[in-house]
Amino acid sequence: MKIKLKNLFGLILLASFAGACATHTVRSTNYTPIIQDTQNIPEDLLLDVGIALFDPGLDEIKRSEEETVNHEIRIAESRYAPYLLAETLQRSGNWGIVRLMPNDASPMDVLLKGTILQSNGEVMSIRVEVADASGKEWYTKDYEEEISRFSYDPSERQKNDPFQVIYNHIANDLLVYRQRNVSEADITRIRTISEMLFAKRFSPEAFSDYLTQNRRGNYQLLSLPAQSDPLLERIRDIRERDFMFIDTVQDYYATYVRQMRLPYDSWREQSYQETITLRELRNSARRRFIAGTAVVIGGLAAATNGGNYATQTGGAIGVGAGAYLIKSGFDKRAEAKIHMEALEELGQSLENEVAPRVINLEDRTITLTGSVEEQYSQWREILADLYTEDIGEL
Amino acid sequence: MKQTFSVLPRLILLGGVSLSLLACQSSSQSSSSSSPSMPSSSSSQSQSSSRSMPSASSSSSSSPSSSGLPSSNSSASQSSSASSSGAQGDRSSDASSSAASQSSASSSSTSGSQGQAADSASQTAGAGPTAAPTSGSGASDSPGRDAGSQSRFPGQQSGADGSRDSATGDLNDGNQGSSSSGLGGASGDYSLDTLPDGVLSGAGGGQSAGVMTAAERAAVLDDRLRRGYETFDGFILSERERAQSESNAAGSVAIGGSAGGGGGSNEGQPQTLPESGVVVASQQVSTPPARTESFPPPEDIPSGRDDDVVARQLREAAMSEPDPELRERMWDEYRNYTGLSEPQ
Repeated sequence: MKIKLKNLFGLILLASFAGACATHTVRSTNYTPIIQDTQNIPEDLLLDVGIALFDPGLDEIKRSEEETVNHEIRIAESRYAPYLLAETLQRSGNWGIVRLMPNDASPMDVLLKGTILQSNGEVMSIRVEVADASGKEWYTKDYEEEISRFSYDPSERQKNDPFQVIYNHIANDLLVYRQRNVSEADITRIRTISEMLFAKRFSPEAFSDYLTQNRRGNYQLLSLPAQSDPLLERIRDIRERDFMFIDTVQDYYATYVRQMRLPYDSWREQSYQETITLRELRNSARRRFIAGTAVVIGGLAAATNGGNYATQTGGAIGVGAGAYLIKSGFDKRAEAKIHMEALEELGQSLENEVAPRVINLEDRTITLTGSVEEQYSQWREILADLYTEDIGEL
Repeated sequence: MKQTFSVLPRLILLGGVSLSLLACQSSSQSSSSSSPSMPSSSSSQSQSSSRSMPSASSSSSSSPSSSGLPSSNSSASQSSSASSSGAQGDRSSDASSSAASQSSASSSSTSGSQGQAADSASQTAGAGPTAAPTSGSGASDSPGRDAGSQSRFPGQQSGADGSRDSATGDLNDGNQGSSSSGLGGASGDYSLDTLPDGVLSGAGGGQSAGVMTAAERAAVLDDRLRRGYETFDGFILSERERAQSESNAAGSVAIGGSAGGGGGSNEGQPQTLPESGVVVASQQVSTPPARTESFPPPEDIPSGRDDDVVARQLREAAMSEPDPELRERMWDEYRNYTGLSEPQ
């Protein structure tokens, strides 16, 4: 009988500990810098990188996060994050020009696509897919970074984005892949293919025959035009303009990122705290429910099956303690709900701030793209006529 | 019997006279028939002649085409090559030799016209060479041009794929006709901007202005392309300037090197992120006020009208650099790039 009573008290104590204890995550603040290629790469062998606007990943939001994820913010992030990645890659010096692409019309040597899987101020998770101009997939990899509070320190924020490390990791992996898997001949081939794809976009009648697609859909070079081909020279002139257009769009994005940065960082910082608190409260509530239920069941068992008064009294006390634990679990859940609502409010507040900026960015980009495309279509016609003339002269 | 013998010489005489009359009549007929044939031949000729002799085309209103005409001889030879190859149905590469004389051009052109329109060809066949000298007659030009314009223009200019194909395929045989007919058919008031439309529409007009070789047309198209570049560059540069000023106005708080545009990319190769971020950020902070000012270029710097994109960017950067030392270095860079520093 003594043993039973001991067991009951042990159970209550254990449940109390379990219900009371909170998790304390220790986060390292190791900073991974960008790796720079040790070799001095000639300019001809630098691959240009295009980064597509990220997929906001709205389809991949977990059910548990649906209430706290604001779609508009995620869309805003899908324009913000790739710009930072482009900046990181550009500053690494390992690549040619690195640009955030407004659309997929302009072929680049390397194209990087991303999907935001999670972003709440505490954790950022991005899936990255990389392919080259030939269509060959380099790799697909998920990156996740959980940052510490230190990342929101004003001195750190002045220097870097709180999630800069994730961009550094992506940049470093890209460099490692290129170093290990892409030879100089490959680089030349990839650059040529991207140029031919661009040429084909403007003068398909003249440049379609230089490329073919294999069964996998990857482009292969069949032959090459003469370097002095006048039509190719014109295409190169136009491509230079296309880069100018893309550069202009970069300025749009730069403006957008600057406008978004302060409210977004502020939101992330608050979201960071709220997210951690929310998670802890939820965990605590869950633990309390489990422990309370266990204690209630144990207490009921002791109270009903107890052979003496002491056991029955102990069982009754256990039931009361379990009930208290369950109640505190409900309290924690209610508290968590308050924090969840706070998160929603924060999100709504940021949404009101960034959504018009996203719309403005889209409007400007689309307008500029439309104007540019109009000019491009005229050039296409002229190039077609020039091609006709060239053929006629043969 | 005697009467018969006495009448016979008369009859013979009469017969002779009538024969001679008939002969005269037939010769006059042939001469009259040759005159309509002239136009076609002359039209084809006028193509080469108009190029070689701009004065011949001076009657037509605008001759922007003449501005695009590089060398009259070569263009003439090209037209001849085109027409001859078209007549044969295959491409004769040697026909493009610039050494081809005008006489050969004229003969080939006649064959070209043969290939196009049977009747006009038959007319020109004999009259072509003789017609050439008399090509100046404006009255004779128009018919030939009309014929040419019908055969050539739709094919070349409708813009549809099929027509374009036929244009490319028949470019050689159509070339002569096209240039003569097309331009003859064209209103003649086309400019570099409106050339394709004018040609497309086939709106008739100046005769000689329409007479262009493939090279000349290419030159005109190139010119249009160049103008398009200029318009585009101006548009994009102004848009960039606006976007950059907005970006600067949005805040100088650049995140670890989030300097906008390509400018930041060329500014050195940072080693590791935090430091570089700060460096780039501080550069960005310092640039905004400089953007608003403009410093005149040194005296030895030309107007820059022919600058390409890179040169323009260098010029812009130099003109907006407040630091005189740095500015001078930028101008040196500009000189190096544009070749100004090289000894003439």
